[in-house]
Amino acid sequence: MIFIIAFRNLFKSIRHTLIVVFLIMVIIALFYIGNTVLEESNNGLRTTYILNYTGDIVIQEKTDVSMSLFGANTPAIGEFFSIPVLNDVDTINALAADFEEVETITRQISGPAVLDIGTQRFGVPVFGIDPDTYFPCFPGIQLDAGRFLQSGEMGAMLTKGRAEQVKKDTGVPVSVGDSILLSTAGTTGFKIREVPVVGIFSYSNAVQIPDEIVLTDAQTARALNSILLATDSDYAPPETTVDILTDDIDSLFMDEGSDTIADKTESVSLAEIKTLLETGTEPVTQDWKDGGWNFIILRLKKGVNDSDFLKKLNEKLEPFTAKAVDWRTAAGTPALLVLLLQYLFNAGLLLIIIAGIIAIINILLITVFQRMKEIGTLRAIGASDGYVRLLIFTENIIIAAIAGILGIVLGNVLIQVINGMGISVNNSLISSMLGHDRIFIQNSGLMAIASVALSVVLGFLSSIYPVQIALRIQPVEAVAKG
Amino acid sequence: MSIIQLDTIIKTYHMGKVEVPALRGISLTLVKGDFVAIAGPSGSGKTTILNIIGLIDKPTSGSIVIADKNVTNMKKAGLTRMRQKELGFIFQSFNLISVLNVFENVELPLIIGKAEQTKAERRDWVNYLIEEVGLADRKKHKPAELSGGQQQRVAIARALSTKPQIVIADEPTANLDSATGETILNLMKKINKEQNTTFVFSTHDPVIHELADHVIFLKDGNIVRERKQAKEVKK
Ligand SMILES: Nc1ncnc2c1ncn2[C@@H]1O[C@H](COP(=O)(O)OP(=O)(O)O)[C@@H](O)[C@H]1O
Ligand SMILES: [Mg+2]
Repeated sequence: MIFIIAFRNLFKSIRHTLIVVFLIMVIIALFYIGNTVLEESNNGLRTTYILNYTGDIVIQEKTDVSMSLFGANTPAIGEFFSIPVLNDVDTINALAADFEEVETITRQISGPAVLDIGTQRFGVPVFGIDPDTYFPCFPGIQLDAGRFLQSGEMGAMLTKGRAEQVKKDTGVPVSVGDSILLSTAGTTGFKIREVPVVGIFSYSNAVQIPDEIVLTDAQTARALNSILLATDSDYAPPETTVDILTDDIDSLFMDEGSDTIADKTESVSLAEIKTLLETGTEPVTQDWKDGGWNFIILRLKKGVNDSDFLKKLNEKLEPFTAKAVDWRTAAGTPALLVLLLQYLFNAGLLLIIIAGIIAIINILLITVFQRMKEIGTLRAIGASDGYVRLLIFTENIIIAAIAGILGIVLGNVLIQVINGMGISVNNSLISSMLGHDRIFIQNSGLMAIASVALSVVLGFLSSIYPVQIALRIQPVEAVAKG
Repeated sequence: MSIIQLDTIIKTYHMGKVEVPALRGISLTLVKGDFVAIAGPSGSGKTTILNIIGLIDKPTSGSIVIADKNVTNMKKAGLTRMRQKELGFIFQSFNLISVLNVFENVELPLIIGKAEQTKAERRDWVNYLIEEVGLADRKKHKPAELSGGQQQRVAIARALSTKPQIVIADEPTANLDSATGETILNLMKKINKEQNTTFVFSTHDPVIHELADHVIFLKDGNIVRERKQAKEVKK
């Protein structure tokens, strides 16, 4: 019966009903389109970042600043900030591998370097990787020429974007087998490495930053970043390696924190390194067998909630000096920018929703005042608070649900229109956000359900105050004049 | 056996700073099965006293006992239950729920009061009431499709649906022509006789109050005269 009264009342005050339906419909359409786009963009970001170079989770050494795979996320600090080496890397690696949610694990060394190629010079981020685990971890990486870096070999891989730029600038194409120079000038001296280009690759949905990335073997990256080298790997610097030592061998032992062992052209014996270790001039917590790493990168199995897992993992990391961060943090500034856009969008939407609720409350209040006599009559014939409350909530939630469904219909129509226009996007930021270079929005069933749920919540929230007012109506209003 | 007992009921309305005395100390006792008319000129307090008996308004002071329950200080929920179970109300301007048809209007108090009946019992009872008030062929009509007399019959059936002990009617015939008014009164009287339901109604029409067994005359918020059956009692 309540349902009958509620439903017929909607038609009785059809003008108010229509206004409320319209308001909720617009809010829901906005919410639906907006979040469909955001969901799309999240998927876009996922392919851009997670599958290309961040993974889902990155384990790094605890620092005071927010740190991405490129270093500090704060640009001002970035230049002087060196990424700390991860302590207990093997233990943590084993610990992470024990989680059943983890699909693949790899490790990485990162640091900025100067790339000299032909006559060209660029500042680049260098990722030192373990090829055996790295490429399986990042299916977004596609080989365009040459081959993937192999385990134990020294070499570099450049992006297609980089290669094309060099060709454009110099007229000389970069080919597999060419040598490139990578150099760093840090507090511990000037390091330079010559490595061959073994392959040219591209990222799917590339944005600017990934185009800059140079992938090298771990040892080269360690050398550039003054990180301890592996000792028992089959790695040996090829003859072509050029080492420029800023200090002579004596000062090497005096200079605290100096760890330029790798810069010696001769191979280093285990005994020598042990001596070094005992004299305490080296960071001692590193993993000797494998050399130091900056990051452990995890890709999670499909369907695993990354924020839940992150919490779980960080609890396990409690005893270590390491912490895990999500891919958003790991991706660095461009991803943060995209996330900021998302937050702004949601904040804007929230404001619209609040304004909408206020408008709806007003209309519902008017409706309640117009129905003083009816509500008074119900009271006079014995309706309880609960009955009146239920009646008004039912009415408004019916309106809201209808409006919600219409909102989704409207949203879908608008999406069709937008897709039909085939707008293309030149901005790489937005295209990386969308995951395509053309605006194409996929309908989302989940979002549709969420939208109807939101409309019901809206109906409920905006009814609370009008219901409060309706409950104050006295039965004597049934006989009040006017 | 008294069913309604009012003791020195005073009701004062406040219109801004002005106090309007509507009832100045009314005491009365009504017995079960009574068919009572409250008579008096306009503004004498008829509506006010019926609202107080019907528990849709509260007196400024004085005590009320209805169906052996002292309701003077009863809380909102208790009063609501009394209105559901013990009282029926017939309004001067009918007050039917416009979106509900005749059947649904009569059924409504049973649903509101969660009456302990099966659906079939309820349907039969509502149909019976509608037949009693002579609207069997109008069950599916909305109030707007009925004449004033027909709407008031629906209101009577609605007031009776919960089988209340007391039915209050404030000038039930005021919006009707006199012939229709008389049939409505006769209908009320018939139910009063058949079911021993106590009726308290107001009227300013001498022809109508002649039909009552018990007439209470009000003037300026006081009872000036009371007449039971044919015998008149001076106050
Ligand atoms: N809501 C109210 N506010 C102020 N005064 C009222 C109100 N209702 C009734 N009155 C006054 O109380 C007195 C009695 O009114 P009422 O009970 O309606 O009389 P009747 O029904 O006999 O015409 C009148 O003087 C009337 O003006
Ligand atoms: Mg009156």
